[in-house]
This record gives sequence, C-alpha cells and structure tokens, in this order.
Amino acid sequence: MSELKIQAICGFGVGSSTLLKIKIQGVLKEMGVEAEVFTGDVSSASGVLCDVIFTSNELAENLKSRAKVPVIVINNFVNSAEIKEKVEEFLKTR
Amino acid sequence: MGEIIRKQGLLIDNEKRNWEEAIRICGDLMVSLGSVTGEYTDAMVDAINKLGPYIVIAPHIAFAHAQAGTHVLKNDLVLVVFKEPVVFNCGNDPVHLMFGICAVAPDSHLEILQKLVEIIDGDKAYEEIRSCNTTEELYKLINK
Repeated sequence: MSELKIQAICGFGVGSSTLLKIKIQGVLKEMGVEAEVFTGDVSSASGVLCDVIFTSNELAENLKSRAKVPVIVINNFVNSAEIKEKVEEFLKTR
Repeated sequence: MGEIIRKQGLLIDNEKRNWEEAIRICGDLMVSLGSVTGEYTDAMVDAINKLGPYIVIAPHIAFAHAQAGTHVLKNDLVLVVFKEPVVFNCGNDPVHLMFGICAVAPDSHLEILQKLVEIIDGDKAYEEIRSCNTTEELYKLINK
C-alpha cells in the first residue's frame, strides 16, 4: 500500500486547515500511522491527488459533489478524540 | 513556553455583536498592529459570505482569516474574547473566542499555530479563556 495522503481543507488552505493538519498529524503519530498530511483550499481541493479529505461541515457539501475520495467532516477541529475516531473509521475502510 | 500572543494582540469586548461586526473588530485590531491592511478584514468577511461560517472550527471558537500573502504585512495571531454570544448560524454557535490569524506565506505561521493548538485543546481551556475579565488575566493564561 502506498503512503496515505490526507488533505485538510479550508477556504484558503491557510488557517483552519493548518490547525486541522496539526491535529491530524498528532493523532496519526499517537496511532503509529505513517501518512502525508497537507492543506488545501476549497476551490482547488478536488483536483489534488489524495486518499481522503478532512474538512468542516460548511465546506463538505461543496466538496462532496466534486471530490473523488471520501470527504470526512470534523465538527470540532481542536478535539483530538473526534479526529482520532474519524481517522480510525477511515483506516478500517482501506 | 514563550509569548504566543502579545498583550496588544488581546482584546475583551463586552458589547452584543453580530458576526460581521465581530470579524471587523478582530480585523481592526490586526490593522492597528500593522499586521494587515483593511482589505484583509474585508476578505475575511467576504469569505464567510461566500463559503459559510466554516471558520467556527470548534464549539464557541472561531478562527478568522483570509488568504496568505494577500493584504498581509506580517505573520500575526490575535485573540478577541466576546463576552456576549456572537451568532454565526452554525453548529458550533455561539462564538465567544475569535482568533485572528494572518500569514505572509502558507505554512510560515506553522509554529505559532502549533502553540495555539496546545492552548485551546480541551473544553477547560475555553472556559478559562472566556471567563477572563482583563487583558492582563488573558495574557497570563495564554502565555503561561
């Protein structure tokens, strides 16, 4: 299996997505999972190669219609528990 | 831990505000510190009008920002505590803490965000920050 590529999305790929990236990286490290985590903005996100997209509820609807990979909604970007649960759930599908 | 937000970057607001007023207060603070131009504030408001209130990234916490490198003069992080609830019409309403962030280039502000993540992790941090009544208290709590 090639390295997992996770894209964290916000409006500009700068603020909230960077925060989410940091949290996802923390969770993955804790779980001992190797993955590349990077940020993106909502307009170009669906064109970027990745295995899964993590984003907020507001942007998910916009992305789901275009994305070719699963779009996972995170309601609380600072809650490690929610992020861990959703990462685990996704890993089971791989 | 070193200084994460300087004292001038902290503000406590006691008035009832709508979401746009709240963002403009946060933006004006960044303008007054010489970190962004007024257009950056407009861009933060436009982003919400266009994309929805996605900047409310956790219950009661908003993360106001616009594009890196545009209308940005230097990397910065500010915090406005709204004593009165600010409604964005989203699942994480109402907002009481608004962090304002600007970056001259993507990822150039990673270190400061990493520190921020440590501060706001967990519900307890939110309650503590929200209950501060002076910027002195806030400064001590954020930079402890």
